Amino acid sequence: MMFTTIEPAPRLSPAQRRLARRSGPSAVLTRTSYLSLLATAGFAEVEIDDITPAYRATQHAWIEATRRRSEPIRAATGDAAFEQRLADRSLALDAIDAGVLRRACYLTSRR
Amino acid sequence: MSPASNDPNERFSDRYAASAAAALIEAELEVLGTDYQANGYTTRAEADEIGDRLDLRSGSRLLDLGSGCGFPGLYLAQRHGCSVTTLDPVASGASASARRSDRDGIGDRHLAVIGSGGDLPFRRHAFDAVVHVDVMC
Repeated sequence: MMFTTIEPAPRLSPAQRRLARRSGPSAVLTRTSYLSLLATAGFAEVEIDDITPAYRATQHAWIEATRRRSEPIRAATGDAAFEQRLADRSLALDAIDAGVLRRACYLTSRR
Repeated sequence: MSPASNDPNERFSDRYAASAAAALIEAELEVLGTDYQANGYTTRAEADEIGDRLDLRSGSRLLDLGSGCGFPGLYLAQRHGCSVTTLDPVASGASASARRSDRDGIGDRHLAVIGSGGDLPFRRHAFDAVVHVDVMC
C-alpha cells in the first residue's frame, strides 16, 4: 500500500498543532499517528518520505493557476466556492511556510 | 479553513461536478500534468513513482481508495496494464471515472465502486496493491 497524506509536522508545540489543524484539510484532524494506525492494521516495514517541498510547490502552482483563470473558474464553481477554495489553499500555504503542515508518502506492506 | 462537513457527498459532490470545466482541466494540466479532473497534489511524476514502487504490471489488481474522479488509479491502470477498482463515497466521482475509463478503452479493467474506506465492500486479499492520495485533503 502506498499513500500520501497531509499531516501536522512532527514535534509541534500545542499552539503549532492547533494552527496546523486550523490551516490544514480534514485529514489533519486525526489524533492517532499513521504509524500507530498502520501497526494496528497489520502493516509492517513502513517507509515514510517527506514530500513537503513538492506539496508547497504544487499548492503555490494551484493558487497561481486558479488566479490566472479566475473568470472561467468562477463561472464553473460559483463565487463562494471559488473564494473559499482559494482562501483554503492560501491558508495551507502559509501553514506550510510556518513549518506546521507537511505532506508525506507512506509505503508499507502487510506482515 | 472552511468548516468541513463530515459528509463527503456534501463536501465533494459540487467540486467533482465542476471539475470537468475546461478552465479547471487546463489548470490541472498546468499544475499536475494530468487531465483526470483532479485537484489534489499528486503530480503525474509522483503517480509514476507510485506505480513503479508498487511494482504494478499487467495482471496486478489495484485498489484506489478515495479515488475522486479516478486519478491516479485510472492513470496507473493505463500505464501499467493492471486492473483497477476505484472507490469513492461520492457518486459523481464514480460516474466520472467510469466515463473516463470507457473513453480510454480500459473499461474492461476498471470497476467503479461507490463506498467508504471505513467499511470496505471487498473480500480479503482481493487486491495486490492499494493506493490512496490525499484523501480528505
